[in-house]
Amino acid sequence: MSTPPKEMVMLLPAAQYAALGAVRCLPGLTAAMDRDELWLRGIPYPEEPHPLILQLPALHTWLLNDNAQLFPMGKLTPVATLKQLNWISLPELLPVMLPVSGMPALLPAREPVQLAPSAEPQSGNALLTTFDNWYQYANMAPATRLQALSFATSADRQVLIMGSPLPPIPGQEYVLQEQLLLPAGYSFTPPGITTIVNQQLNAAQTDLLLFRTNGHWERIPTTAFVKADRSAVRLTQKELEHG
Amino acid sequence: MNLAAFINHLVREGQVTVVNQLIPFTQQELQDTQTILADYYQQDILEIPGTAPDFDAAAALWSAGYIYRIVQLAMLRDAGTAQLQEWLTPYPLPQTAAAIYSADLCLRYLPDLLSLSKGLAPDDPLVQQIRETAMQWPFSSTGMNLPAQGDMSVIISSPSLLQAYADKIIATRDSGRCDIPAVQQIVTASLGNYTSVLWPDYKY
Repeated sequence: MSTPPKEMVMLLPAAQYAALGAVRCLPGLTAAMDRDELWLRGIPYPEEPHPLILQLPALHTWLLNDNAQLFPMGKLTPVATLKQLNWISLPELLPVMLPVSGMPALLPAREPVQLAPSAEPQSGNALLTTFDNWYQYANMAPATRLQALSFATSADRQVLIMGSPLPPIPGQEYVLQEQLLLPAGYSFTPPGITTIVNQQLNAAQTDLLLFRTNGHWERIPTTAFVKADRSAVRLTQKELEHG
Repeated sequence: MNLAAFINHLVREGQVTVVNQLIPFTQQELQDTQTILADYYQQDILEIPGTAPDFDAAAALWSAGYIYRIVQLAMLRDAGTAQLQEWLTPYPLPQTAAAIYSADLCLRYLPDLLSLSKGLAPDDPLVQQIRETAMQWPFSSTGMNLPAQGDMSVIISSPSLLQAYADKIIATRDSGRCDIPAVQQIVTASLGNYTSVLWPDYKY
């Protein structure tokens, strides 16, 4: 003997599960996916269903009793038994996502930052040269010309000399702009970007950034510089020779 | 403080004391002093332009003893001309490049010693003696406003000493020492195009 139906069950195409969004907040509804079908239950009966439920794109609608028997609407004889499914609440089935913000306008095209020849004459603040050039000069240079300089040496025998006046030896001169060393005769385009580049690449302001004309750059800690005593140059030479 | 300790303190700390008795140095004192000076020479040549002249132990030891005696005599005050002649004997050997540079390891303190003697009368025999020695050793006496005396050819013929001499002249702004063409030439070359920055008052 069958018990009277207590709720209504609907079968919907699984592809249209988003339609359940309209009834997501109605109490008591649960749903279960079964391959390409979507089952919805918990619709109170014999009360009149909520109008939003009646608008769902249902394939079939049944009444369900306590024995999980399915009755066609208005029939007294069950035609099937509800399968054991994994029922979940609609908020679980349809989680809420924040909508994508709309942009007020099109983004401007990206402006490349690059070094370009500059028409503005600037005196050099640093000189990049080979250690051999530097050693040859410092070995006999007047002390008064060395006193105003400091230098940093790399393992590949490059040396960056800073100060004024710079030594009269071959090399690439650089101009110091904030903490950036730009090749003499070059400046950033777009103009005025130097401060932003410095802030982006050198937030701590503890290093110098040396830029090549091809846009490559390297970081040189200010602690790498030593005062340009003749003894410092000679001891560096020994250090480089003996590794 | 014996001679060795005196020199050790002088080159390391710049502060010295001396015993208040004028007695000859012992052989051990001289030997220890020579060792200290040889070490000091090795450190000092790192700053000398080019190839430094060799270490001349005799000149270095003479200059060490000389300034030690000056300090003693300046402290004693009552020393007479006879004592000065007895204890401040001139360097007995030729002033070679090695001797000039090695003696400078201690004679470079002559300007300070002259200041130490400022309490004495300008015509005090000790002050006169210091000034006389300074003029005889021009490499060590730049900045004292004294003319260079004697043969300058040794300094001029040594590229290392000549550049170091120019460095000293520029550092002490001793334009009076630029009256010798070779010296003037290297001082001018050292300043290059930056005379107005490095020595604005240089007039040559």
